Order: sequence, then structure tokens, then C-alpha cells
Amino acid sequence: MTRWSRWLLCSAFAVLVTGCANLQSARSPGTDLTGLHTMYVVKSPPDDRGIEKLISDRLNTMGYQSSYGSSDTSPQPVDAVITYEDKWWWDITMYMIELRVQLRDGSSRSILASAQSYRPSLQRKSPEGMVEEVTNELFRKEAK
Amino acid sequence: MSGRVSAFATLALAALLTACAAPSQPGAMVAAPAGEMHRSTEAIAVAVAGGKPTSAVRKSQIADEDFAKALRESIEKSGLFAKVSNDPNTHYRLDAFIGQLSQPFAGFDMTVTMEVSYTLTDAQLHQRIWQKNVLTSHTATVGDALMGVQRLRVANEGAARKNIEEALQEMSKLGLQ
Repeated sequence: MTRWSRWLLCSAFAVLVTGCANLQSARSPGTDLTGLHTMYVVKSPPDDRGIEKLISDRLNTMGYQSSYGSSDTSPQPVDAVITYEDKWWWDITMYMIELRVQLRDGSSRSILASAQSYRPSLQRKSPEGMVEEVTNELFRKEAK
Repeated sequence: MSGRVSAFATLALAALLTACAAPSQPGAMVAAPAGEMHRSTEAIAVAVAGGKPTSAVRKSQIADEDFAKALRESIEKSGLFAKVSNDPNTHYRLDAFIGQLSQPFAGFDMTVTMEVSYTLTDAQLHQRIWQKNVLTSHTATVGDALMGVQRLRVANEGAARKNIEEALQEMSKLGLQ
């Protein structure tokens, strides 16, 4: 194998396996999240790993009053509703490759803000770590 | 052996370089709503947020300016408003926030789901007159595009086109002057 071939192979492999972790958020223009105190996390139907509980626990830790459930609507009126989508991938073990979270108005359900984290295999985090990263990003300006 | 490895390495590099993600194209996201549309005599300004630019080494995305361009062209084609303007003193203002663009990582059939929160405001009265979350999805098949990165772009564009179409249909029902 020539040195040139070896270099090409290593480069191609590195790009395919590593990729880049990515953390992003967006907020609807003019939206102020400071008035939000109570939240309800709606369980994503395909999720059987209890991510809704992780998100709700994390929000409680951040100082919000949060509950969670399978129902599309909260039993009590809340300021905001959280929906999410978790994607998993396999590389030796299963890991969460992407978590997307949407923060919605409690009554109209319009999306106020969203955040997402993408972490390929070599930069993987635990589900708790992904949840912490995304919720921090979602409320970055309002850190309590 | 060395020759085979060189060929493989060259192919791997070629695959990496040629399979770059391309941004969703505004022209492919322009909607053409079926049926008669209500025609307002007033002008409208359009603003979009929540979109993302496309990185060549990642997935095809929808950028704010591209979705805004498609939304403006769709409104103009439909005749729903007399004019699409950039003037901040325009009678109506439409804000579109791309809250969700759910994409697969791989697959033969690629389905993209898009959710946009639209808010229509009477800019002169500073009054919100309509707000709606529009959720649409589109599946692109191998018949649409052979390369996965291109198939994802086609799915993005289809979901966006359907989203704009549904939003225009809903706004048409308002019967604005």
C-alpha cells in the first residue's frame, strides 16, 4: 500500500466515522420565555426509553414545574408544552444520535422555540447528557 | 493488492466529495394551490425564522431566505394578496417560524416532516388575526433521486411545498379585504 493510498483510506474512514457534533436552537421572533413556569412533556409515541421523564426531571432541576405523560394534553393548564423526537443509532451499542425538542405555547400549541443536538458515535453522550445539553440550549437566555 | 487498495481509496474519496448535501431550492418549494383563492387588495410582508443553512458534509436543510423566497413567490402566484412587499408599513405581515424539520438519516424511501408556525398580523392595527401550526410530510423515493443526499433534498422541498400550500389555503378562508 502506498503512503498516498493509506492517507486517503484513513481520511475517508475518519470522515465517515467521526462527523461533527452539532448543537443548535432557534426561537420564534419576539418570543420571551421568562414568563414560563409550568410545563408538560408529551411522551413521543415511538419512545420506549422514558426520555419524557428525563426531560421533565431536567426541567424541574432547572427551576420549572414540570410534569409528563402520554396524553397529548396536560391534565392541568400549563404555560408551555414540550414535544421531542429522539433518534438512535447502533455502533457497538445503541446510542442516542439526535435529540430534537420543541417548546410550544400551552394553549395555542404554536412553537415558541426549538433546540437539537446531534452527536455521532465518537462524540456520543448518555441520554441524560443529551437532555441536559438540549434543555440548556433551549433556555440559554433565561438560565435560572 | 496495492492497486486494489488505491482504487478503493480513490472511490471512497470520490464518494465523499461527490455526495455533498445541497440546500433545498426555493423554486422547488413554490406551491400552486388548487382551486379558487380569495384575493385581498392589500399588500403583505413576509419574514421567516428557524431555518438552517446547509453544510456540504451534513444533511440538506431549508434556509430562512430560501423558504421566504418560496413563500413570497407562492403568494404572488396565488394572488392571495395584491403584492408581496419588503416595506415594514405594509398592511399585513406574515411570520413563519420553522419549528421542526424531522429527517431520516438513511433509507430508500425518505420521509421528511415539517412543522411551521404561521402568524398573520394586521401591521397597522398591531393585531394578530390568524395563527396556525401547519404540519406536512413528503416521501421521496429512489425514483425521485438515486443519491441519498439528493433524495433528502427532494423530500425537504416536497414537505415545504405542501406546507406553504396548506398555509395559503387556510389564509384564503379568512376572506381578508
